[in-house]
Amino acid sequence: MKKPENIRLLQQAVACFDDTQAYKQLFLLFYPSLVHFAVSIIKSRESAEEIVSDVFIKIWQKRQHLEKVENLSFYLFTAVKNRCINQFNDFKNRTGININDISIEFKSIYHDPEQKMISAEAIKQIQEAIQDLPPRCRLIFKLVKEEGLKYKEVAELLQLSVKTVENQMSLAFKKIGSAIDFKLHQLTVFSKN
Amino acid sequence: MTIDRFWDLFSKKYCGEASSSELNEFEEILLTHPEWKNTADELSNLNFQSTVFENNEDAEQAFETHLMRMKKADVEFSGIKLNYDEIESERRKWNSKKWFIGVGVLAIILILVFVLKKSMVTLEMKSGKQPTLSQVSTKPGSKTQIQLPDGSLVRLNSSSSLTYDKNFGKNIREVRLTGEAFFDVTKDSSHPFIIHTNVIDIKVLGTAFNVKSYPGDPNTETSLIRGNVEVTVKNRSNEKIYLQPNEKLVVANNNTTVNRTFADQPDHSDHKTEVSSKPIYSVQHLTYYPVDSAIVETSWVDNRLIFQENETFREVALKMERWYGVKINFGDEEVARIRAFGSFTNETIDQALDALHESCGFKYKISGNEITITK
Repeated sequence: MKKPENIRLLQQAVACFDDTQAYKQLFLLFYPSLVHFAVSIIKSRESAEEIVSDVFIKIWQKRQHLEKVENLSFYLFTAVKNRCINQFNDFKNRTGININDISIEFKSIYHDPEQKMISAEAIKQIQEAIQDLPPRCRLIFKLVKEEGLKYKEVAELLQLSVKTVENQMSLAFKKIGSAIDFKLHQLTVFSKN
Repeated sequence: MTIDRFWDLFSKKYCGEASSSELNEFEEILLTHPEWKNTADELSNLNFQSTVFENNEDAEQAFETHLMRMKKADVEFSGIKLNYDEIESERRKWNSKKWFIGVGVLAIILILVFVLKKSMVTLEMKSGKQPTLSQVSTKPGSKTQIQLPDGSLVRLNSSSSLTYDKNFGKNIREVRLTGEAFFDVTKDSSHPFIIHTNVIDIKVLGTAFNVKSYPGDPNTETSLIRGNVEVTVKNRSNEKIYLQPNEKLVVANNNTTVNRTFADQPDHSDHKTEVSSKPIYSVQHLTYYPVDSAIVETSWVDNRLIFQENETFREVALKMERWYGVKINFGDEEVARIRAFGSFTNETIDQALDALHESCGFKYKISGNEITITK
């Protein structure tokens, strides 16, 4: 689980104590989603893995700066994006990234067991709803809800306006909300007529 | 359309992006559309955190590959558990410039400390104020618990003392320890917690660990239960030792090697080859009591006195002296080398001695606070 306070502690352990175990923890936490993200940009699993590994090598080399990084998630995603873009420029085979091409899997939803129970059926419906989101919408949703990025940060990362991020998030919740509550969905349809 | 506005506001609120006027607007919409409240609550309860990482095998494999790439790129990946040789060779790599700066900085610090101390002493003397230090001490045979101003808990074992500044926690968290204590330090990453002992300084952010630093003992021990600690050995301030949970650092108190407590290491052979003037340390694993896997190093916190199989009666006696506040004398050396092992919780000194006497076969005589052990 990527709890911001845990990540801060790990960052501190790496920055202050050169803690190799904490570094490994950070790697394990972020590696899968960063690779997904890189693959969606450069379409090559191998290069994506190398890029993420390179970013983490830099993190270790400059670990003393890690304490000052406010949101490590945003920092890592930005670093990965920049490296992906650089690689494009090196090969000169593309001019930019088309975010609509980006397909990001949304692997799972975690439901807090202490909270109100939710049926397995409902979770399945929610997952389907997320899978049915347009790719860009799904990516934005994932970056905000799963990676803990702020609207502003997502906008900067994906070169979009904050307003677009807002709209996409609103759209995502609307669809997921409809999956949870069919009645509300009907209401939506009704009010649109 | 209200429903679209509802989703705009909901997503902002749920992602922590809503302004206070937007939050108010959201509440107003819910008042006019109470039928939406249910869905909003359901959605807020969902936690969209990925759990892919709990299935760690792929990521572990990726980390191995990553380490190999690091090695190829000649990036040094170490920090924890530096061994003695590495430190020595690293130290040689130090160039003279760094060394020069280091000495300069150290000199300035020393001068500052000297001046400050002097001015503080004179200030105290002039104003007749109470000293700014608080001290908690325990007598032989008694223990106590202290809660520091920052919420950290300290259990103080017998014959120990903990000293800290009255201003503890305002800017720095620093204590001085003689004897043994178990620390459960409250997390505060901006104020590291530092424990000074005679031979080592321990720096932590938020952890639980035990420090044993009795003046008469051959070693100072730091045992880590959870979290991270950074230890600096006095006179070797450019080396830092990092412990992982379940490890203990043993540092020799005098100018000798770490005194091994293993059975195959006769006492007298320890010192003859070692001529180093610097304290030497070793990182070991914590010891578990074989009967119930209790951690021996911290068992005193649970009021248990544990002797391990590899301890001699002399070592056991030292523990008993502190535990019960008695003095134990040995009638002859042979008895002092008997191996004794067992665990005591509420037993009195009489009961404990009686039990040991039965399993080890020695004689003892109690007169007041003094106990004499003979064959």
